[in-house]
Amino acid sequence: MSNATPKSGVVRSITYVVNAVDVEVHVARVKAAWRQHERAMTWEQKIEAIERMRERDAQLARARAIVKSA
Amino acid sequence: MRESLKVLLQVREEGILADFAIGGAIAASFYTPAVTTEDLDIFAFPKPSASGLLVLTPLYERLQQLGGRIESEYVVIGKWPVQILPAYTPLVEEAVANAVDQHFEDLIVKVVSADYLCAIALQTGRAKDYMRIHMLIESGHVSSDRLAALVNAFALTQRWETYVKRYA
Repeated sequence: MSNATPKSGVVRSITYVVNAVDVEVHVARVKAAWRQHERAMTWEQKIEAIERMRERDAQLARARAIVKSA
Repeated sequence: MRESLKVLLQVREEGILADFAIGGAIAASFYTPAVTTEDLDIFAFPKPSASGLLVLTPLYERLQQLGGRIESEYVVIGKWPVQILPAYTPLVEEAVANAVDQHFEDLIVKVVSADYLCAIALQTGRAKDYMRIHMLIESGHVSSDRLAALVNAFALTQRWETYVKRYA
Protein backbone atom coordinates (compact mmCIF):
# COMPACT_ATOMS: atom_id res chain seq x y z
CA MET A 1 0.00 0.00 0.00
CA SER A 2 1.33 3.41 -0.88
CA ASN A 3 2.28 5.86 1.88
CA ALA A 4 1.65 8.83 -0.37
CA THR A 5 -0.80 11.33 1.06
CA PRO A 6 -3.72 11.91 -1.23
CA LYS A 7 -3.36 15.39 -2.70
CA SER A 8 -6.16 17.92 -2.55
CA GLY A 9 -7.23 19.80 -5.67
CA VAL A 10 -5.28 22.89 -4.55
CA VAL A 11 -2.07 20.88 -4.00
CA ARG A 12 -2.55 19.21 -7.37
CA SER A 13 -2.99 22.63 -9.02
CA ILE A 14 0.09 24.07 -7.30
CA THR A 15 2.13 20.98 -8.22
CA TYR A 16 0.97 21.39 -11.81
CA VAL A 17 2.05 25.08 -11.88
CA VAL A 18 5.40 24.28 -10.23
CA ASN A 19 6.00 21.48 -12.74
CA ALA A 20 5.04 23.80 -15.59
CA VAL A 21 7.58 26.35 -14.34
CA ASP A 22 10.15 23.55 -14.05
CA VAL A 23 9.44 22.53 -17.61
CA GLU A 24 9.85 26.13 -18.82
CA VAL A 25 13.14 26.45 -16.96
CA HIS A 26 14.27 23.09 -18.28
CA VAL A 27 13.38 23.99 -21.88
CA ALA A 28 15.13 27.36 -21.52
CA ARG A 29 18.25 25.61 -20.20
CA VAL A 30 18.23 23.03 -22.99
CA LYS A 31 17.78 25.77 -25.59
CA ALA A 32 20.59 27.86 -24.10
CA ALA A 33 22.89 24.81 -24.01
CA TRP A 34 22.01 24.00 -27.62
CA ARG A 35 22.65 27.60 -28.72
CA GLN A 36 26.02 27.48 -26.99
CA HIS A 37 26.79 24.16 -28.71
CA GLU A 38 25.76 25.58 -32.11
CA ARG A 39 27.94 28.64 -31.62
CA ALA A 40 30.87 26.32 -31.02
CA MET A 41 30.14 24.27 -34.17
CA THR A 42 32.39 24.69 -37.18
CA TRP A 43 30.91 25.41 -40.60
CA GLU A 44 31.72 21.83 -41.66
CA GLN A 45 29.83 20.47 -38.64
CA LYS A 46 26.83 22.67 -39.46
CA ILE A 47 26.85 21.42 -43.07
CA GLU A 48 26.95 17.83 -41.76
CA ALA A 49 23.94 18.66 -39.57
CA ILE A 50 22.11 20.11 -42.60
CA GLU A 51 22.93 16.96 -44.59
CA ARG A 52 21.42 14.84 -41.81
CA MET A 53 18.30 17.09 -41.81
CA ARG A 54 18.04 16.69 -45.59
CA GLU A 55 18.27 12.90 -45.30
CA ARG A 56 15.58 12.88 -42.60
CA ASP A 57 13.35 15.16 -44.73
CA ALA A 58 13.83 12.83 -47.71
CA GLN A 59 12.90 9.80 -45.58
CA LEU A 60 9.77 11.58 -44.36
CA ALA A 61 8.82 12.51 -47.92
CA ARG A 62 9.28 8.88 -49.04
CA ALA A 63 7.18 7.64 -46.11
CA ARG A 64 4.44 10.17 -46.91
CA ALA A 65 4.43 9.07 -50.55
CA ILE A 66 4.04 5.42 -49.49
CA VAL A 67 1.15 6.30 -47.16
CA LYS A 68 -0.51 8.36 -49.92
CA SER A 69 -0.20 5.60 -52.48
CA ALA A 70 -1.54 2.92 -50.10
CA MET B 1 29.45 19.18 -49.85
CA ARG B 2 33.19 18.89 -50.32
CA GLU B 3 32.68 17.03 -53.61
CA SER B 4 30.31 19.73 -54.95
CA LEU B 5 32.67 22.54 -53.96
CA LYS B 6 35.68 20.74 -55.41
CA VAL B 7 33.96 20.40 -58.81
CA LEU B 8 32.92 24.07 -58.77
CA LEU B 9 36.47 25.13 -57.90
CA GLN B 10 37.75 22.96 -60.75
CA VAL B 11 35.51 24.66 -63.34
CA ARG B 12 36.62 28.03 -62.01
CA GLU B 13 40.23 26.90 -62.31
CA GLU B 14 39.52 25.85 -65.90
CA GLY B 15 38.10 29.32 -66.60
CA ILE B 16 34.59 28.13 -67.51
CA LEU B 17 33.33 29.94 -64.45
CA ALA B 18 34.96 33.35 -64.07
CA ASP B 19 34.10 33.55 -60.38
CA PHE B 20 31.51 32.36 -57.90
CA ALA B 21 30.48 32.71 -54.28
CA ILE B 22 28.26 30.63 -52.05
CA GLY B 23 25.00 32.33 -51.15
CA GLY B 24 21.64 31.33 -49.65
CA ALA B 25 21.15 29.10 -46.63
CA ILE B 26 24.56 27.43 -46.88
CA ALA B 27 26.32 30.79 -46.77
CA ALA B 28 24.03 31.90 -43.95
CA SER B 29 24.93 28.76 -41.99
CA PHE B 30 28.49 30.05 -41.82
CA TYR B 31 27.18 32.83 -39.56
CA THR B 32 24.00 31.40 -38.00
CA PRO B 33 22.76 28.09 -36.61
CA ALA B 34 22.21 25.41 -39.25
CA VAL B 35 18.86 25.54 -41.02
CA THR B 36 17.77 22.86 -43.45
CA THR B 37 17.83 23.72 -47.14
CA GLU B 38 17.06 21.99 -50.41
CA ASP B 39 20.05 23.21 -52.36
CA LEU B 40 23.40 24.90 -52.56
CA ASP B 41 23.02 28.36 -54.08
CA ILE B 42 25.93 29.63 -56.11
CA PHE B 43 26.09 33.21 -57.38
CA ALA B 44 28.26 33.00 -60.43
CA PHE B 45 29.95 35.00 -63.12
CA PRO B 46 30.03 32.61 -66.09
CA LYS B 47 32.75 33.18 -68.64
CA PRO B 48 31.36 35.54 -71.32
CA SER B 49 30.99 34.02 -74.82
CA ALA B 50 32.75 35.49 -77.87
CA SER B 51 29.67 37.65 -78.48
CA GLY B 52 29.91 38.98 -74.94
CA LEU B 53 26.73 37.20 -73.82
CA LEU B 54 26.75 35.19 -70.61
CA VAL B 55 25.91 31.63 -71.62
CA LEU B 56 25.55 28.80 -69.13
CA THR B 57 25.63 25.92 -71.65
CA PRO B 58 29.44 25.32 -71.57
CA LEU B 59 29.36 25.35 -67.77
CA TYR B 60 26.48 22.83 -67.61
CA GLU B 61 28.18 20.60 -70.19
CA ARG B 62 31.44 20.58 -68.25
CA LEU B 63 29.67 19.91 -64.97
CA GLN B 64 27.97 16.89 -66.59
CA GLN B 65 31.36 15.64 -67.83
CA LEU B 66 32.55 15.88 -64.23
CA GLY B 67 29.69 13.68 -62.99
CA GLY B 68 26.96 16.24 -62.41
CA ARG B 69 23.43 15.52 -63.59
CA ILE B 70 20.81 18.06 -64.55
CA GLU B 71 17.56 17.90 -62.57
CA SER B 72 15.14 20.73 -63.41
CA GLU B 73 16.88 23.96 -62.31
CA TYR B 74 19.68 22.14 -60.48
CA VAL B 75 22.90 20.39 -61.29
CA VAL B 76 23.26 17.58 -58.79
CA ILE B 77 26.92 17.27 -57.83
CA GLY B 78 27.65 14.62 -55.25
CA LYS B 79 24.85 14.72 -52.69
CA TRP B 80 23.88 18.32 -53.37
CA PRO B 81 21.54 19.92 -55.91
CA VAL B 82 23.45 23.05 -56.91
CA GLN B 83 21.54 26.05 -58.19
CA ILE B 84 23.81 28.24 -60.27
CA LEU B 85 22.45 31.75 -60.37
CA PRO B 86 24.30 34.11 -62.70
CA ALA B 87 24.96 37.29 -60.71
CA TYR B 88 21.66 38.80 -61.74
CA THR B 89 21.56 42.24 -60.09
CA PRO B 90 24.14 44.92 -59.27
CA LEU B 91 23.71 43.97 -55.60
CA VAL B 92 24.52 40.29 -56.24
CA GLU B 93 27.45 41.26 -58.48
CA GLU B 94 28.84 43.37 -55.66
CA ALA B 95 28.17 40.59 -53.14
CA VAL B 96 30.27 38.14 -55.20
CA ALA B 97 33.01 40.71 -55.68
CA ASN B 98 33.13 41.33 -51.91
CA ALA B 99 32.66 37.71 -50.82
CA VAL B 100 35.07 36.42 -48.21
CA ASP B 101 37.43 33.46 -48.59
CA GLN B 102 36.55 30.73 -46.09
CA HIS B 103 37.93 27.29 -45.43
CA PHE B 104 35.78 24.23 -45.97
CA GLU B 105 37.93 21.33 -44.89
CA ASP B 106 40.99 21.59 -47.18
CA LEU B 107 39.26 23.86 -49.73
CA ILE B 108 39.01 27.64 -49.85
CA VAL B 109 35.71 28.99 -51.18
CA LYS B 110 34.19 32.44 -51.38
CA VAL B 111 31.18 32.98 -49.15
CA VAL B 112 28.87 36.01 -49.39
CA SER B 113 29.31 38.18 -46.30
CA ALA B 114 26.58 38.50 -43.67
CA ASP B 115 25.90 42.14 -44.65
CA TYR B 116 25.35 41.25 -48.31
CA LEU B 117 23.28 38.17 -47.39
CA CYS B 118 20.97 40.49 -45.45
CA ALA B 119 20.72 42.94 -48.34
CA ILE B 120 20.05 40.14 -50.87
CA ALA B 121 17.40 38.69 -48.53
CA LEU B 122 15.78 42.13 -48.32
CA GLN B 123 15.79 42.37 -52.11
CA THR B 124 14.22 38.89 -52.45
CA GLY B 125 11.70 39.70 -49.73
CA ARG B 126 10.00 36.34 -49.00
CA ALA B 127 8.99 35.43 -45.45
CA LYS B 128 11.94 33.01 -45.14
CA ASP B 129 14.29 35.78 -46.29
CA TYR B 130 13.10 38.06 -43.50
CA MET B 131 13.66 35.24 -41.02
CA ARG B 132 17.19 34.84 -42.37
CA ILE B 133 17.85 38.56 -41.86
CA HIS B 134 16.68 38.22 -38.28
CA MET B 135 19.01 35.26 -37.64
CA LEU B 136 21.96 36.99 -39.28
CA ILE B 137 21.48 40.12 -37.20
CA GLU B 138 21.05 38.01 -34.04
CA SER B 139 24.31 36.22 -34.86
CA GLY B 140 26.25 39.45 -34.38
CA HIS B 141 28.00 39.19 -37.77
CA VAL B 142 26.12 42.07 -39.42
CA SER B 143 27.60 45.54 -39.30
CA SER B 144 24.76 48.04 -38.89
CA ASP B 145 26.76 50.72 -40.74
CA ARG B 146 27.55 48.50 -43.70
CA LEU B 147 23.98 47.16 -43.90
CA ALA B 148 22.57 50.71 -43.70
CA ALA B 149 24.88 51.72 -46.57
CA LEU B 150 23.66 48.77 -48.66
CA VAL B 151 20.01 49.54 -47.87
CA ASN B 152 20.52 53.11 -49.10
CA ALA B 153 22.68 52.23 -52.10
CA PHE B 154 20.28 49.59 -53.44
CA ALA B 155 16.98 51.33 -52.62
CA LEU B 156 15.91 48.77 -50.03
CA THR B 157 14.49 51.22 -47.48
CA GLN B 158 10.90 50.10 -47.94
CA ARG B 159 11.88 46.43 -47.53
CA TRP B 160 13.88 47.31 -44.43
CA GLU B 161 10.84 49.07 -42.95
CA THR B 162 8.76 45.97 -43.66
CA TYR B 163 11.34 43.84 -41.87
CA VAL B 164 11.41 46.17 -38.85
CA LYS B 165 7.59 46.28 -38.70
CA ARG B 166 7.10 42.53 -38.94
CA TYR B 167 10.13 40.94 -37.32
CA ALA B 168 12.40 43.28 -35.38
